[in-house]
Amino acid sequence: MKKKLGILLTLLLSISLLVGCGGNPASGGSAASASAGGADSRTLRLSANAAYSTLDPYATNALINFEIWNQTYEGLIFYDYDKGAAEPRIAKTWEMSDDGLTWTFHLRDDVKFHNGETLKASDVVFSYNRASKAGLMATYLTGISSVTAPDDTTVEFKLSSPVAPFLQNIASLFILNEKFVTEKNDDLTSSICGTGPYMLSSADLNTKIELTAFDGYYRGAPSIKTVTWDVITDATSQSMALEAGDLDLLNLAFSQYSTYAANDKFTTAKVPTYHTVWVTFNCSKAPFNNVKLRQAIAYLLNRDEIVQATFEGLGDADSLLISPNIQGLPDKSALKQYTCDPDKGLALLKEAGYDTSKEIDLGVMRTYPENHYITKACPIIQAQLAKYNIKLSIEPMEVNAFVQAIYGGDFTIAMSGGSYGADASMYNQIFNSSNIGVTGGNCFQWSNSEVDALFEQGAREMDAAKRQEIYGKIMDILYNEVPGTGVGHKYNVYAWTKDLNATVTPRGFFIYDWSFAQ
Amino acid sequence: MYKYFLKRILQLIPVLIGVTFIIFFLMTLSPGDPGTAILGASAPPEAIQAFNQKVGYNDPFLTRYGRYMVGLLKFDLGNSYSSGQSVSGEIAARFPTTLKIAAFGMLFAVLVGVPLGIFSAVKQYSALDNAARVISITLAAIPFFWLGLMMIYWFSLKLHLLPSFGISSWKNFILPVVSLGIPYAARQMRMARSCMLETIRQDYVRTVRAKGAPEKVVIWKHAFKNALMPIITLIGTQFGMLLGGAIVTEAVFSMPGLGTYLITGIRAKDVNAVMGATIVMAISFCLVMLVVDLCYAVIDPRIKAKYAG
Repeated sequence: MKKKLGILLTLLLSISLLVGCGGNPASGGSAASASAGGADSRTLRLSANAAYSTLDPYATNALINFEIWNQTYEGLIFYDYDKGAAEPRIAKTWEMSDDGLTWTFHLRDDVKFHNGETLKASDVVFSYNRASKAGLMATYLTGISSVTAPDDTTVEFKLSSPVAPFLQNIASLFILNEKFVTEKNDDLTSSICGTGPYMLSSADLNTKIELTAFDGYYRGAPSIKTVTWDVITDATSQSMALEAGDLDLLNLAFSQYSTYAANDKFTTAKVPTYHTVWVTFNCSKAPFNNVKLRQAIAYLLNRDEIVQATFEGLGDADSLLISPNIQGLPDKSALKQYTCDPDKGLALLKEAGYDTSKEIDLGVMRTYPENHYITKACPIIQAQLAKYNIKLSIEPMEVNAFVQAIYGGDFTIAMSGGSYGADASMYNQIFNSSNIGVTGGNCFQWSNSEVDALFEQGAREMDAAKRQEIYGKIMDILYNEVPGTGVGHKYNVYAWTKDLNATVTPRGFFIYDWSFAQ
Repeated sequence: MYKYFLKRILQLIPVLIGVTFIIFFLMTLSPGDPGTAILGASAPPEAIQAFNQKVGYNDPFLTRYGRYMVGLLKFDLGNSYSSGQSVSGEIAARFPTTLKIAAFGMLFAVLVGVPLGIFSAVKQYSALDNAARVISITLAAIPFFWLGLMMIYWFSLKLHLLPSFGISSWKNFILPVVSLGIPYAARQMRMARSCMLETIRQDYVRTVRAKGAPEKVVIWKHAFKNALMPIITLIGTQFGMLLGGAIVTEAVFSMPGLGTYLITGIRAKDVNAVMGATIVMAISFCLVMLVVDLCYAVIDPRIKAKYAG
């Protein structure tokens, strides 16, 4: 009896251990070795700070995914936001009809997909149809009523009304290969077949993605031949990997920037973003339904101090609710902004009906600590307002609870922020009165029919100067009404090894243009 | 004996029903929805609603729970909301990593901690015993992430001996296993020491010594076996918990295991992923406890007699 039991137990225990000892996944070399070989064969090693949920370009908008898609997929054109113009890619020329309702693209005939197939206009139609079923792509496809392919190298988009940022939008429609997607049964979770300069060579969504150069790329093969992304979830571990030489480039946390800037072995870069951090007011209920109170707070904040604490100085401090980097807005100098003016602020407080000689309790400010840098602003603001005898308490919440509260109007004042795209028309999402009570929509619970109308006009106005006027008016209303007040716009900071020639833009980076020093 | 074994396996069923109901209930009760959590709050509202509709989140609670349990009967854990992939596939890809870290971590802890504890007990109040006690308290109190980061700092960054992330080779497991094993070894040492001390004081040990048995036989053949029971219980509970994923270790060393899967799933309100991971953890824990109980029978003839009878 004892012997049988002993054997049974030993068997169970050893099986449990052996199951664990099963073959190790063979993926790439040991991470401890630095890249060997000449500059031509050197692998570019990057990292992602979270595991990938999917590689399907229409299924998610996670930033780590765009790093991969920007190398492997392309749209009909590439929109250069610095120049404010589109560059040919899959399409070599394009034109818009006089009424602005038809866009015609003439495609190259030598564009190849990674599986060897030549691109045809039907692939573009297929991609559009697939994207229109995906909710996330809706903002990029706004206004399009139909897409047709009169022949293999021509695509025609018909719009229901003119769309001013049409080229910017259509650049985000990555073109898929119909044959490949059909063969994969529409499952693009771990496969990529695009027209970009890099193709997917291996994908383990939890640990590592590897791309290799695509020889059939119509603009010529890239200089760097292999790129890998390792999933390293902890920021400190990422930083140590970069210093140990296991990574070549890293998107840094703000606190790490000064260390790397002082280190000769690395090049650092500060890249502006379209992101804004703002104090969110609930304009539909007391006390912040009082516009004078909101204006008063806007005058009392010292934004430089807040940006110093929140972004360690790696950001621009201003009160603009939409980042001045965004296309469509007038120049920053033409926009009205709040500066730190305590006299005006206190005067407005009195006008709002508050007795500035006594303590003013403005309630609870809600935030979510998972977004560490936004939450850092809260105690700074609390201290700044305390100087004027204004009391504000802080309530950190779990992220899902916070999202529900802020979009449901269950708050009076909160700290939040976001980035809604590179063109001003996209901000309709958060300022339009029809999006009050909608998740991801009008968190300010603010309704202004003039702004609603202006956004609609701005989406259709094709003349750039008139467009700027429209968005300038919107910014004026936002300045006067203060549904929220901006605090600053952060930079993205990067560090990479000295022997890598790299550039990063606010829209991400394109490894096609990079190279290793010889 | 086998009847007991079978009975314990059948007891898994009510445990699973309880666990699944509670977790499902909690996930439904908690704020937020998968669409917002997975697509992000800045995603267009229509996209968020379409997503929630697609994963069936808007259906009533009992409908969803019933649907899930029916799937469970067919051994189908459903598809993860975030990736659309089968949950059982994703867990199967991650469980070996967690199992390896847990198993080798415990092995390290036991091989280092238990002998040290016994030695400490036998040579009580010696210099070694005092040193071991102080060190074990310190090591038991060290946070895993600090130890992990320090080890990466020294062994990866400064000495370039071992990799700092990933699971591509057996070398990747050395640092996580040691950084996890050390605090657990310290706890094992303390438990082994106190159990051993208690046993040594017993009358029967004095009797064996009086009979003239060599000290080695006294310690290992008599005292140790009696002290073993609480130690095995501790090993079992710790191993069971580790199978739930040493989340901090997995995060610091970027190893894709069950723990990180669970946390990501909770944050994303990915109900299927969380349920799948919890079920696997619950089953593993029950099985480990079963093995622990069977071990008792092997070690203690009194318990074995109860089963045989």
